[in-house]
Amino acid sequence: MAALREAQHELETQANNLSKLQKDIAKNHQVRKQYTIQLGENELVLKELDLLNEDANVYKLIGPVLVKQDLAEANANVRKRIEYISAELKRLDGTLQDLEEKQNSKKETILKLQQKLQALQAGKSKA
Amino acid sequence: MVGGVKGTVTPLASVFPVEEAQKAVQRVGDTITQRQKELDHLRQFISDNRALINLVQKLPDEISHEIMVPFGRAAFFPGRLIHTNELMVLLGDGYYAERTAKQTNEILQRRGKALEGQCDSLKAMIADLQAEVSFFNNTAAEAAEGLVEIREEYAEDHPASTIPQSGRSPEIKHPESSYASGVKENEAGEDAEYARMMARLDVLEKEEEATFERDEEEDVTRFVSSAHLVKANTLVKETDSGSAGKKSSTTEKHLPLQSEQEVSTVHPLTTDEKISTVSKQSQVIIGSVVEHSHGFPSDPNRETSSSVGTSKPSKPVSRFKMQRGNS
Repeated sequence: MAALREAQHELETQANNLSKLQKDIAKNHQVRKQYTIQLGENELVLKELDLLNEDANVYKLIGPVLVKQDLAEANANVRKRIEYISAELKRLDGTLQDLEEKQNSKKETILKLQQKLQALQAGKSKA
Repeated sequence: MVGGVKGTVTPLASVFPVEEAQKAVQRVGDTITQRQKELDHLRQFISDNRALINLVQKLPDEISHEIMVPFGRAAFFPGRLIHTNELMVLLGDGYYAERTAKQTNEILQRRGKALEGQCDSLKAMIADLQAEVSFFNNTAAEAAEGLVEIREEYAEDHPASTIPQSGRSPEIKHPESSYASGVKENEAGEDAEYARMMARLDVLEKEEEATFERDEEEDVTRFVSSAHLVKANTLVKETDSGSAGKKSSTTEKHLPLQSEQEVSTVHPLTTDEKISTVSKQSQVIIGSVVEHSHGFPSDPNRETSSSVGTSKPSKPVSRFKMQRGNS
């Protein structure tokens, strides 16, 4: 009887862990999506900046004000931002893979626990 | 289930439960609606972009426009829009650039193109998902009929009978099994069809590759022959200028000779096929050349020049002179 309760308890905690992991994965997906959108936007900006004349005036919106920027500076900034976002995307991919592996192993353990629980219940009903 | 001699029979519904298949349909359908929303969003962007392009095109038509300037949330007052050819364009991510209307138009056009590309990819994605939905729907329908629909699996220790068994219902004595075998047959038929399709694709691919290679070869030969023609033509021109007042018939005769001389330089480049045709041609020409040389034994200078040089007037010219002398 005690073993059964223990198994049930274990199953519950594992299920909680799994749902937490799934939430993390969903969150990760969300962040990843956002970064991908930003990357696309920044690439568009870079393309347009490349097409500008050198004497074109470029401004950056910082808070409520437009701050005039050097074209070269703006270009460098955008490039840096793209690099950063790419690195971040890579990192997110890594964590996502990690999380998915964890999720799979969790699922397996839960399955095993369920089987164990069923066996215990069957044993109890026989007894 | 059926305790058949040769195997067991399992309903399809147990492999793909109806609810599960329906759930999958639901889920994919949800993603489709989501994507559809995104697509609508994009379409909105595209139409906005188009409207903006129109506006930007019209703005610099006038020095100033009379407009109602919004003031606060509900108030407007009349005003004038000036500097109609100076626009501050948002490039994205907080970057603005000062541009003329024309330059802005270019930027907007590019943006429109990017948007359309996104739209297309989204459409392709939706088509993919719809194919998935139809697949799941089919599975669900098959599973729903599962009260009678049965999937057969045969014991592994009869490997020899695995392939033909699908069509042989006599082996199974259960009344349901005739239907089951029909289903199995159907599946096998689909498999065979798939295999056939794949084989056909392979063949087509190979054909495509082959034609591609042939095209390349043809290109090479065409290139060589055209280069050869061009050279011959230029040589003819040169000889023309060298011997003004020549008859056209002589020029025509001159051309093959020159081309024959040219051929010897082109040889290393040409393919085998080309060489064979060319050499035939040159043989014919040589014959004609010999004939020509017979006609004018009285011009040794020209003879030597033709054998060495390419652009100098050669045998046919002498022949022309000879004809002239005759006439």
